[in-house]
Amino acid sequence: MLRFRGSRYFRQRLVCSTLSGRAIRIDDIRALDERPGLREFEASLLRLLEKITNGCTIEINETGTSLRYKPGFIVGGTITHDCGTARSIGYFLEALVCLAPFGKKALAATLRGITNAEEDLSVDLIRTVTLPNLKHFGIDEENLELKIAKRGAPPEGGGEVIFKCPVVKQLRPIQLLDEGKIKRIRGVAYVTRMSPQAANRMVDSARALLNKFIPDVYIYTDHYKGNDSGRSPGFALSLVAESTTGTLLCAEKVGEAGSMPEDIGTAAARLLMEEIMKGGCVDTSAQGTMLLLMALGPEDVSKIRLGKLSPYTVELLRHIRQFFSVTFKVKVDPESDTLLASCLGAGFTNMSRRVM
Amino acid sequence: AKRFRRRANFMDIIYGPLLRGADDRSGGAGGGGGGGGGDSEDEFFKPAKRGAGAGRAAKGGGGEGDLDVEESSKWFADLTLEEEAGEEAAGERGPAARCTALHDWDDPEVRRRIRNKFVTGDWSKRGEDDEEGEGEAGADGA
Repeated sequence: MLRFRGSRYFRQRLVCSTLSGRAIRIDDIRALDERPGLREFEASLLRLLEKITNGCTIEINETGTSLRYKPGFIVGGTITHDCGTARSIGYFLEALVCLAPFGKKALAATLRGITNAEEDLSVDLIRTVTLPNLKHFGIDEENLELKIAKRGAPPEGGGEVIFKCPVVKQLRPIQLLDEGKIKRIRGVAYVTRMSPQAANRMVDSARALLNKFIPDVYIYTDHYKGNDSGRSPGFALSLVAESTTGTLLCAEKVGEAGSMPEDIGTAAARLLMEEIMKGGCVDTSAQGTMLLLMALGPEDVSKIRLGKLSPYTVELLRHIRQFFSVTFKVKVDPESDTLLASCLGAGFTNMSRRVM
Repeated sequence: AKRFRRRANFMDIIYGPLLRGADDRSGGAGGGGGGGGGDSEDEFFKPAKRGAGAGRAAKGGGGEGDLDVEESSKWFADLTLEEEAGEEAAGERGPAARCTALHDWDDPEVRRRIRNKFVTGDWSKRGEDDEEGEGEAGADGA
């Protein structure tokens, strides 16, 4: 059993534990906090894991500050989950994206909650960037789908997405080294329960910056009303830069109470420029998913070019080593100031396909 | 950019805290310099106030020492421009600190540096990394 302390990287630890089949124990979860113990969204993540696995045991002490988790087998299947409003659907989807391919059955998950929030990757970017990134690993793109049925802006949410993911027997190793040159920028500007004009204002201010670098910028504006628009007014802009080699870099900004659509547009564009400046074949938010799936690959070398590592990624690399004994080789490429990360896969195969 | 190159051993930054053996990695983590270390003796018996307000600051990535830092794969940037401060600090701290370094996209020099990342830029092989090589004549980035 692996032991950890604190609530940090709770999701990483649970995902790694579930995939590796190794039990974990976490102590001192917010032990010094005014409200000690697990939060609602963390309990919700545990419930989600319970739904897609079979035979897991979860023990939590009275104050909620200690957790023992013994993972079960990933089953998949059709599930419905209410993600609550503390964290957005993206928090849960990022975990599902890594787990679902290794299930017994294809996953069809209906998730309800907040679709776009500042803390997590929005469902738009998961749809347009995370899922296409999975195809490098040999996950069947045809059956990989994320449908945004209803928008749900913070704080009340009310959104709904349907995530479908096929199973794989084993992943393919990847070689993502050529980042190419950015050839076009696409985006989605959405508005719910507000004047649709806000979308155009976001687009205009984002274009003001982006068009100085590249003419091919198209941002789709989406206005939700009525039943599909969730419970709160909100707006956000997500941007994706696509390169000549097909790599995708993304950034987004979500409007908060009192923020101006122009500022959100400019901020999203600036963040995208920052991601482009960093280089790499995937953006910062995608690093974790890519590296985890690389570590789970067959016993073959996978390589990827990254920009700057985020603290989240660094922590994930440590967890990958602890859970899977996979050590990444990370070195700077002085040519372009990017990082090259490579590893020998753990030879992980789908548990449900193994003879029991 | 040069500072980034100088920073040699990523392996040690990443795996160092693990190799030093402690499961409780609160002390040794690479980027922990700035925001961490909240658990001093003085705070004994005092509930640490990391409610709604402090949460966001911690997410920026400075506080690797915080046992209860909020988790997010996203990169949080304070959009106020602080490139200079960020670059300097990054020399001392880990990659975490570097994340807050932002560029001023209205600056022609900054724009010139990114220009070749686009298809509209220079396609020659040298185009990638010619911050020094390119003369002033070619430096028209605006």
